[in-house]
Amino acid sequence: MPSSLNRLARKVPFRWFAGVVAVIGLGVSALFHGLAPVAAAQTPTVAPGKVIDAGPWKVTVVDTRLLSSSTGLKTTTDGDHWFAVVATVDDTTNDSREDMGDIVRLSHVAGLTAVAPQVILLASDATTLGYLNPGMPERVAFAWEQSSKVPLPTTAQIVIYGKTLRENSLDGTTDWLSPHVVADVTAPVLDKRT
Amino acid sequence: MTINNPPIYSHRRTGPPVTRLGRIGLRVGSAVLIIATLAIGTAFTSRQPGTEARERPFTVVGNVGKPVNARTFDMTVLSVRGAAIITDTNGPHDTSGVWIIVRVRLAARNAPTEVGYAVLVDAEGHTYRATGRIDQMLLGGRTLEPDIPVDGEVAFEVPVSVADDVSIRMAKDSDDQRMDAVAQSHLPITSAQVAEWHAATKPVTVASPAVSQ
Repeated sequence: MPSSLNRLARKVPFRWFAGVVAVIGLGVSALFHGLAPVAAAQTPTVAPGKVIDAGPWKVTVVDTRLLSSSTGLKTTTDGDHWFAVVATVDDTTNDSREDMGDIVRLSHVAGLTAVAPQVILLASDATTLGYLNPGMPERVAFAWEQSSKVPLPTTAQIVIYGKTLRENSLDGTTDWLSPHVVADVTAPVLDKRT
Repeated sequence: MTINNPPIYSHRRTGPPVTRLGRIGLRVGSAVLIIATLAIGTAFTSRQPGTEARERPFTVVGNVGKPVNARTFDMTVLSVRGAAIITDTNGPHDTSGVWIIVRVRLAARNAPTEVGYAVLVDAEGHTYRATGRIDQMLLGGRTLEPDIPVDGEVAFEVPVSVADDVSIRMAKDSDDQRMDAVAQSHLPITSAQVAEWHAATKPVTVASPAVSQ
């Protein structure tokens, strides 16, 4: 038997062996639906008022609104206004968080002067939110300066981001990393400039 | 003396040549050895303490009224009070929980230093940073000089349900306390005090820091 195997091995190149193993592997994979087409991941659309669990925080979008600079928030360009997303945010981790700027983005809203919210304010007293504390949900306004030269939107698509608890590949610590889209929320825009 | 070793004509191995099947066997054997080495290494490293445990801070616990060593400074808790509303030049600030205001004495030990980290930690290990809603004059940016202790208050927001069992922790670095000393003192707060503070309607002003008398 070994001599016949030796003869076979002498005749058949090593790559052929690898090819046969690969084909067998594919066949086994196909038996367990390994070759079945995978549907593209769809971002769920959530209505305002619904709680979105995004990992380190739970977010409930209340509404979006336009605010004038007379509210105390000065715009960098005269005539511009603030576009704010009002939401209730709950820190579900064990520690105070200061990365609330990663929670919300706006999609298809023209004239914003930044991608990330430029100001995050507590709704209760309009102070800047430095830390979000665990177990203390807060109603906050994520605000962007919007140019006055663009038509005002009647609705806005709000993109809610979450993070994943995993080991940091740089220092080995465990932290909430890898921001990713969790949900889309479409909300009407309320004009509160007057 | 004569040595009767046979003359060396070649360094090639003697015996029959290695067959193709034999060479495949050698390759497979090498792969198995490599995998076994990696598996043993992984088994060893997985039993070592993780980075979080290996680089954890050195927490130094002390009682209220006694200096607690935080490596570059000493922290002494002098007193604690609370409120439902605090006020500053920007007006009153309410809270969904309760304000805990801790009066501490900070003293640099050997060289000028700053204190950047102040949290309350509850019985379940949740940490609550000193609030950023008002200017905390004692933290981050104020340099402490040796032999010149400074007294001042630090304000925190915590849920009412945890306020009667919290400790204060302070350290030099605001963001990274790994392998550094952290001073900790448990705060003497009762449930009755928490209820009283939570129900209070009079705004409280957080005291600015001053050199100890």
